[in-house]
Amino acid sequence: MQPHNTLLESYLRQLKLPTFAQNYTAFAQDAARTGLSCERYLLALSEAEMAQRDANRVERCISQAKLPVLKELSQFDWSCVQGVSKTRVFELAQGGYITHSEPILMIGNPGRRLVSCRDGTGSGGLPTRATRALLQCGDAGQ
Amino acid sequence: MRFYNVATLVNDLISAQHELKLSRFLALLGKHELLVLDEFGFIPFSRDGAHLLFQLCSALYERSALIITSNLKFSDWNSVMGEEHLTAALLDRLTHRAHILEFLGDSFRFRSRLKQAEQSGEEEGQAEAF
Repeated sequence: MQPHNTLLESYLRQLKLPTFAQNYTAFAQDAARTGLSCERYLLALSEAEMAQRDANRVERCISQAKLPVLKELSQFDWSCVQGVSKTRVFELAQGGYITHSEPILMIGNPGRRLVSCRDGTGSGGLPTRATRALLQCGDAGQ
Repeated sequence: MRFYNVATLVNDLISAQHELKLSRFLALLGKHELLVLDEFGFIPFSRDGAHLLFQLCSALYERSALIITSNLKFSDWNSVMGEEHLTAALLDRLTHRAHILEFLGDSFRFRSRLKQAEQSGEEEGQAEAF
C-alpha cells in the first residue's frame, strides 16, 4: 500500500467515513475504467456512505426497539385475517401516523394481529425515516 | 421506536414511581417517535398502574405515535383500567384521530397447529399404507 493510501484511510477513519475507506479503491478503478468524472466518483462514494449509514440506523432502531420477533409485512398471512384492508395496513406502514403522532388501535383476539411491519417494498424494507418505524404488534405469525 | 408488553411497562412505571424516577422515565418514553404497547387487556392493572398508564398516554397525546394491541373491545376496557372516568378519558385521547383496525378470524397459531396436525395425520396414514 502506498503511503498516501495509508494517510487517506487514516483521515477517512478520523472523519468517520468507513464506507469511503472501504470502497474508494474499487470505486476509483471503476471510475477509471468507465471514464467517470471526479465529481461523479465522489458522488458514488457519498451515496454508498449514505446508504450504509441508513442501513446501520435501521438496524440500530430495530435493536433498540426490543422487538420480540421481527417479521416483514410480506411474510404476513393475510388469509388469516378478516375485516382489515391490506391496502390500509400498507398505507399505515408508510409511517404517516408517526409524522402526525397518531395512535393505531389494533383490536382482536391473540394470534390474529400483525406482528412486525417493515413496508415490504423490497427496497431494503425501510426506505424512509418514517417507514423505519416498525409496527411490531402482537404475536401473530409466530 | 420502542416495543413494550403493556403489563411490563406498567410494572416499570410503578417501579420508577417508587424510586422517584417517574418524571425521568416518562421523559425517556416521550423521546420515542413511536411506542408499541402490546397485549392491553390480558392482565388488569392495579389502581396505581392504571393511573400511571393514563398519565403516560396523556403525556404522549399528539406528541408521539402509539400503537396499542388489545383483545378487548373498547366497552370492556374498564375491566382492566378499573375506573370508569379514567377509562373514558383514556379512550377519549386514544380514539381521537386514531386508526382503528379490528382483526377478525381464527388465531394464526391455532390455524398453524391445525395445519401441522393435518400434515402429521397424512404422514402417519402414508406410513400405515406402507
